[in-house]
Amino acid sequence: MQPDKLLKEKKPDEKWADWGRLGRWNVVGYKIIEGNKGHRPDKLERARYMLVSRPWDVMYEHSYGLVSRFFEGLIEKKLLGTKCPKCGDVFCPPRAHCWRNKCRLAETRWVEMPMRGTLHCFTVLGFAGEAFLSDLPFILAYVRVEGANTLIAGRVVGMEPEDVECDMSVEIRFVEYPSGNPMDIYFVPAGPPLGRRSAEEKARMRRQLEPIRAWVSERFGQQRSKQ
Amino acid sequence: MAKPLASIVSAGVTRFGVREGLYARELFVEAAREAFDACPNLSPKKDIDGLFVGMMSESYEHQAHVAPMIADWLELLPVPAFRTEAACASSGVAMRCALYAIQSGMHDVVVVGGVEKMTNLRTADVTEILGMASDYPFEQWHGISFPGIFAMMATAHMARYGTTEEQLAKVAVKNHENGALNPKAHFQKRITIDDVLSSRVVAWPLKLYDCSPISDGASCLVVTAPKLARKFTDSPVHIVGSAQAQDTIGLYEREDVTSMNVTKIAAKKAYEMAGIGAERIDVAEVHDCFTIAEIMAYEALNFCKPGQGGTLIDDGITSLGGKKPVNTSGGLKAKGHPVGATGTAQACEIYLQLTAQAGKRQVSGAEIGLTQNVGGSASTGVVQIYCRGD
Repeated sequence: MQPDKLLKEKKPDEKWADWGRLGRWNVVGYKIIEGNKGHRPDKLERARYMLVSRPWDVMYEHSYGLVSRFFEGLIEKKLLGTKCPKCGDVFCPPRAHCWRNKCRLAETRWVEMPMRGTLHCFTVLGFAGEAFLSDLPFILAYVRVEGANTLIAGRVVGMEPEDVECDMSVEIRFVEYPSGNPMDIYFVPAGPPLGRRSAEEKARMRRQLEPIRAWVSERFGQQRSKQ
Repeated sequence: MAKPLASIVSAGVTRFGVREGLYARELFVEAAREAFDACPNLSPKKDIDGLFVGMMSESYEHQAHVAPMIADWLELLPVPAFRTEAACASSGVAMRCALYAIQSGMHDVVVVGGVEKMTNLRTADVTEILGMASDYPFEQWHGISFPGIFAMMATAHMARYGTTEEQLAKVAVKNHENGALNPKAHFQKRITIDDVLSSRVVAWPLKLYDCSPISDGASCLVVTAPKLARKFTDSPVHIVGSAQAQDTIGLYEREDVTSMNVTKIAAKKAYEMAGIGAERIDVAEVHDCFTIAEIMAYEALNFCKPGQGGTLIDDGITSLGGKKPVNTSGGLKAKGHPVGATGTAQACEIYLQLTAQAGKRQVSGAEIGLTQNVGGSASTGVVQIYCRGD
């Protein structure tokens, strides 16, 4: 057995070296509270309890497994999928083996995918995990890349949320500096709008999203969404 | 009606909501105490020979290996204890395991329940942990979140069938009506369609009031072999149909994102086992983690045809006074959704309904009930059918 060989590396910035050291595991604050106790809502008693604040964070170092080639492709700005040599089904995102029972877990082969597809469904996020809050509101969609049997997720940019529609054609693009992350690709509209949403519906959607924009600019200042 | 698979002889559920000041294990004790108190013929230590606990994530409390801990807190040591995890169907799957245990003949009387203590973390972090039940990396990394995944099902459902935001809102309004009658519900106030439509967008078309809350809570059942049920109660509830199905973890490999395939498959099997059709169901608890999920559940459970879920809610069929009341407890939407506790909490509500203990939300004369629990983006589906045993 030969030893592993490092072929290419982008080192994490120095600032990640001490990740987690600051305050991890410490009890950094506490509260003593008098609250309600009891299993019957009509017979509650008062009881004291103690609350503590205790930070925890982790650094994952994991492989992309058998579909690593897909992510290497992203860095090269190539969209790859896999194809079953037996039935011909195409997977993008890739599967390392076929999903069909009759193909008996056949290993798939890498193929390059075209940079266009059809939007299958979408949502406009108004809330998200901490890392994405400053980007709100953003459009996420599932797109069927031309020739694929599956859908791939990504953001839609270059259009207002109220103009996004199921079944519209999209072009797939790469971010300027891909990092080997599924978010290295995004979608932009291609072709004329389908026009299925009425002006009234669009106005309502705009109204519904206004408070999100206000919340984000209040919390994060003028730092606007990436769109 | 088919032969019972197992019988529920008692049930307990905690108040759902922000339950500061309690660990998950203590919440479970609260539910178990209620179940034990309601069943004076049960001597827990002597009779109970197995424990099944559904819990989604150890990240909420930084505590794994909860099965022995809960057995300990219930004074049941050294009884064999199991934890099951299937995201929001964790305790639905625990019930399936309890059925296996009893049907195998290896166990006679078991406690099956679920618990989740979710409010220790900030909402954004809870969103992240719940998101772990979607695909890593192809869904999670985009910040999709579960509201986002169900919102995508919703836009596809709207585009295909013309389902409207108002119809989604009506599900929330109905379930809040019911929640107002449930003293243990997280939300016990009525809301209007306008409240829903003007609430903050979480993942369009889903607004805050289209989403179930982040709750703490526990629920549990005492389940016995059918032949032993009478030893413990005069009014057992029998489980007469039970089935489970799985689908892809990511939405991106589904043939059709507008239908809940796991529920469709499990429901068909469960109806067959019970020897009845959807028309015989008097009361149902379905998995309304988001309003669109309840609409999709109607269709998958064959309460209506595909695409007709919106009409069912428009016509008031599933309201408390309607022909087929759904989510009389308030559902996940108003009762609350401590994810691990949800599956057995649904069964607790059906138990209360079929034993005429549901108080102000009682469906009069209810004899046959159904629960539908899903995990993740409906990657796990459990459907069970219950009938009155008296």
